[in-house]
Amino acid sequence: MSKIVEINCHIRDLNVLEKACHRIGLSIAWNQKTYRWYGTYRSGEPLPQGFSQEELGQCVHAIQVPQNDRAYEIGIVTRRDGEPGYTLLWDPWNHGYGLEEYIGPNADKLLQMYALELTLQEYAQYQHYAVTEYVDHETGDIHLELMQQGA
Amino acid sequence: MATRHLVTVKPGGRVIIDVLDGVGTSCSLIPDAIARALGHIHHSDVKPEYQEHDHTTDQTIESSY
Repeated sequence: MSKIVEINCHIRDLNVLEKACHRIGLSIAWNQKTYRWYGTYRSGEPLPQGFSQEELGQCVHAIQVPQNDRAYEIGIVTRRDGEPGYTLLWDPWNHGYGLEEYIGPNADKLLQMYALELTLQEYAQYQHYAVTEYVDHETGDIHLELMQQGA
Repeated sequence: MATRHLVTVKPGGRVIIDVLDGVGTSCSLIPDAIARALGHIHHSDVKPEYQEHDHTTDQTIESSY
């Protein structure tokens, strides 16, 4: 039994997504049009909103675990709600055969890294900020302290 | 006094930005841009100290997908 889960986020910047992937040891296979999953849709399982059964497994790019031909992959697909950007689809069956170790439950770690890289990119546009980054290993929170320089 | 931003990025992508010693609109410029890029603002609050200063603002913004 298998199903595809939509990761609840709106990806607008694929360069930021690539940096987020690198932070947790994943890579983007640009223009890879399919992503690895269980491969069979079981009638009755919920489909990601806006997607048909036939579209499962298809994508515009894919996120993969390097050096692992068994781990499931994440499909980067265009949004179906008319808004610009992308959404991410993956099969959580059996923890994605190793994929979940990288992205965390519900892809929480990947989303955290995307938000982190997006935040750093925004601050980089406004120069004169010295950045200190540290991780709270108890909560998993990542903290940034940004001090404006030369103000 | 230099503006200081304390940012917390939580698993799942929730971002909390605490702006200390911001002056005028500068304290919300970057947090607002991040909120737009990420999704939407859940909560924005001007701290009580704002009432005591004419031009210095402390502001907390939370945003997520």
